[in-house]
Amino acid sequence: MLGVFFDNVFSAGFLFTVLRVGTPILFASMAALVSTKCGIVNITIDGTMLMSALMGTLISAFTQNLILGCLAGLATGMFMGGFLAFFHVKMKTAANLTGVAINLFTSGFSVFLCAVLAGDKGSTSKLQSLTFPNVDIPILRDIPFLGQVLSGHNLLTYLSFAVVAGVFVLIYKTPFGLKVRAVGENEKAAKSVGENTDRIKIISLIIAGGIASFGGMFLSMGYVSWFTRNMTGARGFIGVAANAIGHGNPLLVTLSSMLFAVAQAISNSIQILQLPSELVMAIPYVITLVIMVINSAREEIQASRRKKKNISQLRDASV
Amino acid sequence: MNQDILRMEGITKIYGNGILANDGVNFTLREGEIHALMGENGAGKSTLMNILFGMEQPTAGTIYLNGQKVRIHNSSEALKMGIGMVHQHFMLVSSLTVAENLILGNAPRKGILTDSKKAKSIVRELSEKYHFSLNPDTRVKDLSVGMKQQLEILKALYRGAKILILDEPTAVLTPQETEKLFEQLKILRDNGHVLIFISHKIREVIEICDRVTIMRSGKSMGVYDIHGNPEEGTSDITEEDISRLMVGRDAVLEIKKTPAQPKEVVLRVDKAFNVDSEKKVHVRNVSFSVRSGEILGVAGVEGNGQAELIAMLTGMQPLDAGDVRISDVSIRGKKIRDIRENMLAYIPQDRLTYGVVASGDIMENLVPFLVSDSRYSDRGFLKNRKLRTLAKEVSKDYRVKCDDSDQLVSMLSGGNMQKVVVARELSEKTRKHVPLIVADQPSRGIDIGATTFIHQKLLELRDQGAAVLLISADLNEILELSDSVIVMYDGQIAGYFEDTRQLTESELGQYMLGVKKQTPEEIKGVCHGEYE
Amino acid sequence: MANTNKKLKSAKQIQREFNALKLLAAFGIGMLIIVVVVFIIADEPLKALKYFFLGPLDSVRHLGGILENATPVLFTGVATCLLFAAGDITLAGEGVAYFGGFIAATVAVSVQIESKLLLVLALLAAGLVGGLIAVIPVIAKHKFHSDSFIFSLLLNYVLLYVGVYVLNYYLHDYGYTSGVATALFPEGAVLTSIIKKTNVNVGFFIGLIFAGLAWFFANRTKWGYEAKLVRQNPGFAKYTGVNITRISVLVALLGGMIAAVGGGIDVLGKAPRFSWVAMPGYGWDGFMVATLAYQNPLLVPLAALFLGYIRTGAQIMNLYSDIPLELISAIQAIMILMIASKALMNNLQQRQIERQTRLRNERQPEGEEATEC
Repeated sequence: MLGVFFDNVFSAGFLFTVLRVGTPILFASMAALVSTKCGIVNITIDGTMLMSALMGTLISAFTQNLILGCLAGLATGMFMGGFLAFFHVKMKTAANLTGVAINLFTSGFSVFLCAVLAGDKGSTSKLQSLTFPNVDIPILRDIPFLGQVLSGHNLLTYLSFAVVAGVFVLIYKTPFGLKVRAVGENEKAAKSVGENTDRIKIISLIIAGGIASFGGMFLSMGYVSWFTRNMTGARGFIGVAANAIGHGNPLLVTLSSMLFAVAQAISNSIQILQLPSELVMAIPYVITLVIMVINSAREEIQASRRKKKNISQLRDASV
Repeated sequence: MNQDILRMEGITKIYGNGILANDGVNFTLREGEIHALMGENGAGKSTLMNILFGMEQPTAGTIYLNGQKVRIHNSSEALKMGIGMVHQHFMLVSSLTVAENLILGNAPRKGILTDSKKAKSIVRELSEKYHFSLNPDTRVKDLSVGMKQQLEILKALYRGAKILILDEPTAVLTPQETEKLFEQLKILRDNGHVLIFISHKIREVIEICDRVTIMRSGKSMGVYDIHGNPEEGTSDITEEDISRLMVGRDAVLEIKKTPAQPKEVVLRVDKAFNVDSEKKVHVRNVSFSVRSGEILGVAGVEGNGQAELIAMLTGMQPLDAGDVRISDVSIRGKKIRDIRENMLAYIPQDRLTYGVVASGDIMENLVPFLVSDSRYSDRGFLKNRKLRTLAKEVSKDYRVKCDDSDQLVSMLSGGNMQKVVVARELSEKTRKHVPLIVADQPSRGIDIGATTFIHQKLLELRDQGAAVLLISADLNEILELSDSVIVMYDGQIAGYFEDTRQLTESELGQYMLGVKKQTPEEIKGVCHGEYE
Repeated sequence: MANTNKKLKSAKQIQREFNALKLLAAFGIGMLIIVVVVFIIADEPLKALKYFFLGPLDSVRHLGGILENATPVLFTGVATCLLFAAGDITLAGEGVAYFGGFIAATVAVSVQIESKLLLVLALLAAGLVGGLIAVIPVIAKHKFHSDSFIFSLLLNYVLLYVGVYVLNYYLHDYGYTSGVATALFPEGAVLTSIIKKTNVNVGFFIGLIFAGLAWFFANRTKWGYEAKLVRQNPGFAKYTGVNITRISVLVALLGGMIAAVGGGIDVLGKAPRFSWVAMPGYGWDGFMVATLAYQNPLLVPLAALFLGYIRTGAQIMNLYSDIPLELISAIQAIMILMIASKALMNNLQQRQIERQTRLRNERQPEGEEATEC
């Protein structure tokens, strides 16, 4: 039994699946990362993905042009980011309440639009929508094992890794990223040097929306070639969780996204493994919860230890 | 003759709530000087500097920079004009590096990217030029307080500040760090920068400043050369002169006060210490006691350990070392509720953070100690009508001016809000009888009527046998109410005066500002023969 | 002095009026959007609108539909008021409502009792387990300084997967072929309908009782009072010695219990079997309803009925015309956002308060002799 497990988990096919199911999670987690860097817990990512998945599919079907479809999806995502920014930053609604409301909005509105524009509430399968191509990478594809794992993915899978690099550069290597980090951690400090912190937040949320939109489009224009209602299956929330577990560090966030992807891949190949898929799916969440508690508890303990040390030194000195 | 590079003329600032913070203040800066700005808390220094740094707009008055009339609408404009400010509370992002904090908002670029090499070399260059010791790659959270301050200064310099405002820069520093800061400030001056040094510490001012402007109650008390100019026939200003100018008494309110008749000791503080995780010692080996029927005043400039001392007494912060006993019961290990309900009444300094629930109504603010009382609560179920009636009664007793007991506290004036606090803490209707009253700046920011009322209440309770510990930076308040006084300076007791009637404010001022200090034997008097 | 006789309004009144005004504006705009959208896309807009607005009222069955739709959100709405009572923001309501349904179903199909005692037992078990679960994110926040919002979001998934796992592996009735579901609930566990032709059971009325109790708890007990202090000013709560952790845990426990009982009532009242393999979404709805009610438990039933009304209307309109039911969720979200906007009409409200304060001060000059209360 264990042998079967390892054979499956370390097969090229399995790792290929991990990257494939990990793509939307990775996009979502990067969107969450950009949002938390400017200090906003953004749970609208799930809804944003849903809207982009729909709009990308619809416009690609109506125009029969992949690029226009892609742009429509991207614009939708950015609009959703702006939607959140408008209410949270300008109208001063609480971020979490806004998130809940916007997700409610998208889950209803996407089905509504789908019904009105595609004539079917459940899905767009009647439409001839387009998908992003799969890409074989020359040379790489001929390398045994590695080629099987890394080559032949959807264009957006490669893009997701490019986005990780892009987010890293944006946040850590550009003047704008510096401002974003400053706003997220100490808004007053950013204000004291004359920054317009509202604008920085708005731009960050729009960028996050743009990133999330690709996660949505991957689902409806890559993973499958149609839109179905609530097709994100909480991947947006998983991205938020992956970002929480990775503490906003792009590398760790990528790894934790992959952890969730592994769990999904295992539960997908459940027939072979005979493991209860539900429990496997629950594992990454449990790990995240445990890490969250340990992380915050550790900081607390360190600070109190430091203080105790200071007191004992002081006592020694005064005696 | 040195040239004036900045002139602020007739600056007046009236806040929305009617407080006159600056009243026709004149302030000038000359090339190449370190200019001290001194004054008690609330004298208007911060307002004046906020106006200069563009954070507030003056109600009247003009600012001339290099002879040109200017208007400074916000901090970025001030920065552009070459005015920088080092805030007392640092404006730094702790997870970012020194270099990143420095260039925030004004980063050198290489294409679309940050030129981090250049950022680092800027840190090194500036550090070298001004003898700072900052490593560009260190994260701010790993810096000592002194280094953080250096970084703040560097930030201002990097943005081209010629005039640099330093808001109580030594308040957070250890003596060694202060020494170092002074060397660096001199280097800055020699490099052509003009510094405004806000401080309460006379010695420091005399040590490094060239001139001093002294403020009191929103007005300027004049500009003085620290080191006299023989050509103009002026002599050095003395420590005594400065303290006299700073802490004079204004209008004295006459409150009838009989001599105290102290009885048994109620509060004993025995060798108390308070340290934070950054190694700063806030309270160092403080011992004193307060007797029933007396008011002990704790005078001192804010930030000399009073806040931490009170936090320890009231259980808000743990007692790091030493002991506090109230009516012979140690507060060690006691829950805050226990201390507050059974041992002491506490009027906090920060009304809006601790004193009231501003979004709650008057009744809700009066009854936290009654909700467990069987007269008003039947095993947790509140007797609402009784509470409302009581709230009305108590508001009347304490002359809280309001429409009804369900009026929101946020809509009351400062004085009425404070009366709500005082009523809750002192009325025998809203709480059990307690032997000790801790009053921390009870009249801060409130009108004269409310102040008089609260002062009379405190005296009344003293005469009924309460022990009162009164903490205030306001000498009027201290001298008017206290029977004896201790002065806190730098976390320690600097002096003890058994009888305030013979005490002058200028003498007190010298202890508050660190000019004088009594011997341990003299200070020991405040322990009333306890702890031999 | 014409206006001297007019009674001046207190700030509390003004706030209340503006809250009501915002609610009305949100309501108006929501309805306006529906009308506009229906006119744009429906073939027979007037007919569709008639179904939407009047449909819910035209028969006992439809009126029952309103109550059916309102019941679960009534529970989670009241639960949310309590969960948020001490200032912690948690989504535990969602996971706990699911898990409450799951626990109630589990008890119903596994315990052998032949009377309605089984129903009571199932709901009690659901409430107990749900309450304890809702406490977890609050403890994580107060003891370990974790973010209770994210924590509860993640915890919900753990609950879901555990529930689905048990359903799949232990409760699944293999005789049932159209999906995964438990065996039929025994007679003793089912909440029977009290109005013919509808599924209306006593659930809604139990919910009303809970709403009343929650209001009483929040406004007439020591614990509710202390929770309010913690929510509105934690500094004051600490200064007066309130045990902040204990109060936070208490409100989470009560809130969790109510949400879980709501989930249980929904499961035992609606379906002959338990077949939830996804979250029912009641927690999110509860969040919405609580916001609509400005977190006042007494207003939650009205908000829940409103939600039930527009959902029923949308269901009927959906059935007889070409307007998809889901339009309602979108409208509802926009209304919520408007109500939650602190900036909306804030300037107006502030100016009004300032004006009244000024007038009052003019009438009662400062001084010792002024009126006191």
